[in-house]
Amino acid sequence: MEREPVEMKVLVVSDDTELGGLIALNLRQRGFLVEHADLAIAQASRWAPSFKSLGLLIVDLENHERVSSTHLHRLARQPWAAGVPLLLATENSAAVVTSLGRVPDIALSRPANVADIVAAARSLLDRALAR
Amino acid sequence: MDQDRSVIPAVSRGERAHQTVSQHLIMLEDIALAGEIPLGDLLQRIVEAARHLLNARYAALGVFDGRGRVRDFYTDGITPEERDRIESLPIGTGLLGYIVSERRLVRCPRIPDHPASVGFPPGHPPMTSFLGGPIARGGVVYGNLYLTDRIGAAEFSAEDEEMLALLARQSAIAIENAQRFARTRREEHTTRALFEIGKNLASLSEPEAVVELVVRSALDLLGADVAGLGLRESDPNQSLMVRWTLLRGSLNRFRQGRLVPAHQSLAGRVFQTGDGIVVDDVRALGYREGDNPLVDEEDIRAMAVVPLPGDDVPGGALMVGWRRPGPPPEGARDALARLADRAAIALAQAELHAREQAALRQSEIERSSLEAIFDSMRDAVFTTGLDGRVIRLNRQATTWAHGDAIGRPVHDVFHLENEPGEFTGLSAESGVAPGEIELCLPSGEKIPIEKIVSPIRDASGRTIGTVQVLRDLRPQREVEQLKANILSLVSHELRTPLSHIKGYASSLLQPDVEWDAETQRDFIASIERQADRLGRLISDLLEISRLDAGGASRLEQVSVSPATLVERGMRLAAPNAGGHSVTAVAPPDLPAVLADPSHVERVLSNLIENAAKYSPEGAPISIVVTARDTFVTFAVQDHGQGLTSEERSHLFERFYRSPRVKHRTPGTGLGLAICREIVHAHGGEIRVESVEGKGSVFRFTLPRVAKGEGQREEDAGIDRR
Repeated sequence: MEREPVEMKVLVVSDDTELGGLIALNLRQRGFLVEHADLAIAQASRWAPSFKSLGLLIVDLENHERVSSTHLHRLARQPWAAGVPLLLATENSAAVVTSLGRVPDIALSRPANVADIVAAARSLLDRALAR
Repeated sequence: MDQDRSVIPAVSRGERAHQTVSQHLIMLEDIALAGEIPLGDLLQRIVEAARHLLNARYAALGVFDGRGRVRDFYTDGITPEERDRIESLPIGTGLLGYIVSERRLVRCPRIPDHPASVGFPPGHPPMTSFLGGPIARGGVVYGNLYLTDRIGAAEFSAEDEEMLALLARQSAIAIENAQRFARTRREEHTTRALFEIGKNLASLSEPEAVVELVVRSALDLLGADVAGLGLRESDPNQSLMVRWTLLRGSLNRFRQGRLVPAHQSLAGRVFQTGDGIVVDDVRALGYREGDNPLVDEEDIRAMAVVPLPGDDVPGGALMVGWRRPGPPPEGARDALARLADRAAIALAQAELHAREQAALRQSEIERSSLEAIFDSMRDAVFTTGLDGRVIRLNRQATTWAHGDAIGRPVHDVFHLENEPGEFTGLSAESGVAPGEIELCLPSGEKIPIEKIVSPIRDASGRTIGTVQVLRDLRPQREVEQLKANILSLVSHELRTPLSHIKGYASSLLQPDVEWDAETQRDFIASIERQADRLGRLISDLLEISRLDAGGASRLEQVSVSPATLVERGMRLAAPNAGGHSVTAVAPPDLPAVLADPSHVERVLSNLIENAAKYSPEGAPISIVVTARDTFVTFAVQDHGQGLTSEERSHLFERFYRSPRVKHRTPGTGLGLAICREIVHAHGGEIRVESVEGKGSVFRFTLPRVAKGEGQREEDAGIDRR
C-alpha cells in the first residue's frame, strides 16, 4: 500500500466516537495521517490538533439534531480550521451548514458508505495538492 | 177539566152529575193544591172524599208502577189490621183487572154476579155492590179507584158513577202532575249533578283520577250498589277484552284492572250495537253462574250499561248495578248516557294531557342531555343571532369570553387575530376557517384555535343565526410535537446502530484495504453488538405495544419465589452490568409471589442495567427483597448520580430521557416505562427514591400468593454478597 504524502493530514471530528473512530481507522489504513476528536472537544478554544498544518477537516455527524449549533459554529471558527478543506457527512447538511456558517467543499448524506467518505477525502486532498 | 172520552161513559154536556157545589169546590181546591201537598196525601184525601161523597162503606185507590203492578195503595173504610189481612190476587185478574184492561167504569149491585169477578182475595171482608174505574189520562193508566157497599142503597147510582169518573180524572191529573214534577225535579237534579261532575272532570288531568270520579259519580247519581267503567282492550291474541275499574258502594274501595273477555260482559253487546242496555234482573234472562264474572262477584241483579263514545267504535262502557231486581230508577239510562259522554271527553283530554306531559318530560330530558353535552364540550361553542350578537354559550366559551357575553357582538367577546374576513359577520362562510387563527384569552395568553362556523336555519331554509366553534389546537399541537419527537427519537435510535453496522460492514468489504484478523473480529463483534442493540430497541417497542393492548391478560402468572426472580434478573443483566458488583439479599422464607417470571426478570434486569449505566465504574449495586402485608417488595439500589426532582417526576413516562444523559448515553426512554407497565399489570406499584449526587433506590411490589393459587415452583433463597 502506498503511503500518502506527509501533507495529507486529516482531522476527523464527530459526534459519535465509534463511527468517527471507524472513519479515522479506514483513512489510516489508506495511508492518511489521521487524528480523531469528539466535537465537544474539538470546538474548545484551547484545543488544537496535534498536526501543525491540516490538509482536510472531516465533520461526521450521526445525529445532527442533538448537536449543539454553538459547538459547530465554534468549530468552524477555530484558527486551525481556517482555509482547510471541509468534508461534511450528515443527514441534513443544510441545517448544519447554517450552524457552521461555512459551506463545505463536499457534503455527503448520512448514513454514508465509508468508501464514499474515503473517496471524497482523497479527492479533496488531491485538489489541495494540485493547488 | 179534561174528560177522557175513551174512558168515561158518555155524559151529555147538558147533564151535570148531582153534587154539591161545595164538594166540587173542595175537590178543585185540593187539585189546585196538588203541587203543594205530597201526592200520597192528595190521593188519600181523594179516596176519603170518594167514600164520603158516594156514601160507600169502603173505598180504595191503587197507583201502578211502570209494569202495571200496584205500587201504592190508598184505602178508606177499613182498619189497618183488616187491610194487612187482605192478600193479593194475581195482577190483572177480577173486576179490578177488568176495569184496567177494558179501561171502563163498572157498576154492579153484587160483585160475585159480575162475569169478570173472580171473588175476593183471601182475608178480604165480603162486599156486595161495586163501583170502580181506571185512573187514566192521555192513554196512560195510572191506577184504579173503586168503592164497595153503597150505604143506604142496594147499589151505586148513575150519578155516583159520574162522580167517580170525575174523581178518577182528578186523580189522573194529580198523578200525572206529580210524576211530571218528579221527573222535572229529577232531571234538574241530574243536570245539576252532571254539571258539577263535568266541572270536576275538567279539572282532572290523570286518566286514573277521571275513571275513579266517573265511577263514583255513577254510583252516587243513580243510587246504585255497584258502578264500573270498562275500557276496551285487545289481548295478545287480538281478542276483545274489557278492563274494569269497579266501585262497590258498601266497600267504598276501587278495584282496578279487572280484565274480562268482552263476550262475557254486557259491555261486549254494547260495543257491538253502540246502544245502551237496561236489565231488570240478569238472572231472569236465563243467566247461569259463571256467564259473567262481574255479575257473580258483585252479586248484581239489575244493570244498566251504556257505551263510552269513541271515534268509530265505543272506547268503553259505563255500568251501574243493583243487588235488588227490578227496573232501574226512571231516567237512569239517560243519566248514565249523559255521564258517559262527559267521561269520554274527560278521558280523551286526560290522555291527551298525559301524552303532552310525557312529551314535555321527554323534551326536558333531551334538553337537559343536550345542555349537558353542550356544557361538557371542550370546544368553546356559542350561537349568534341575526345581529351577530351572542345568544348562548357553553362553559368553555364562558371561560374564554371577555366579560359578559350574552347580547354583545361576537368580536367584542372573543378576541381573534388573523381571522379571515370572509369568516366574520352573519353572511359568513360556513365551514372551517383557514389559516392560523389566534385567540387572545382574558388572561392575555394567546392560543392557537380552529374556528368552525355553521348556519342555523329555520324551517324554510332561511339563515337566522350561526353556531360557532372555537377549538383549542394546543393539545393537537402537543400530540403532533410528541409524535414528531418520538419519531425523531426512535428513528435516531434505530438509525445509529444501523449506521454502525453499515460502517463496519462496508469497511470490511473495501477491496483496497486489508484488515488483520484481530481487527476483523473487532469489526464483526461491533456489528453483532449493534445488531443486539437494534434488536433490544425493537423488542422494547413491541413490548410496550403489547402491554398497551393486553395488559395483565398477557401475563402467564405462576407462583414463584422472589429469590428465583432475582437470580434470573441478575443473570439477564450480567452482560450489561459492566464492572459493577451486584449483590442480592432474598431470604428463603420469603413468601412466594404471583408473577410472570420472564417479565419480572426483565424489570429487574432493566433496573440493574440502569443502575450500572448511571453509576461510576465499580460502584456497587444491591438488591434487597422484603415482605409486608400482602406484597413482596424488591429494592434495587445504586450509588450513582441520583435524580433531580424534575427527573423523578417524569422518569416513568414513555420516551422520557433526562436532559443530562440523553446526548451521552444511548437509549429510547422506554425501559422504565416498560417496567412500570409490567409491575402494574401484576397489580403492584413501582417508585423511586433518589438524592442527586448520591444514588437512587427503585422499589417495586408484587402480590403474594394466596393459598391454593398458581402453580408451585421450587423455592430457593439466595443471599449473594
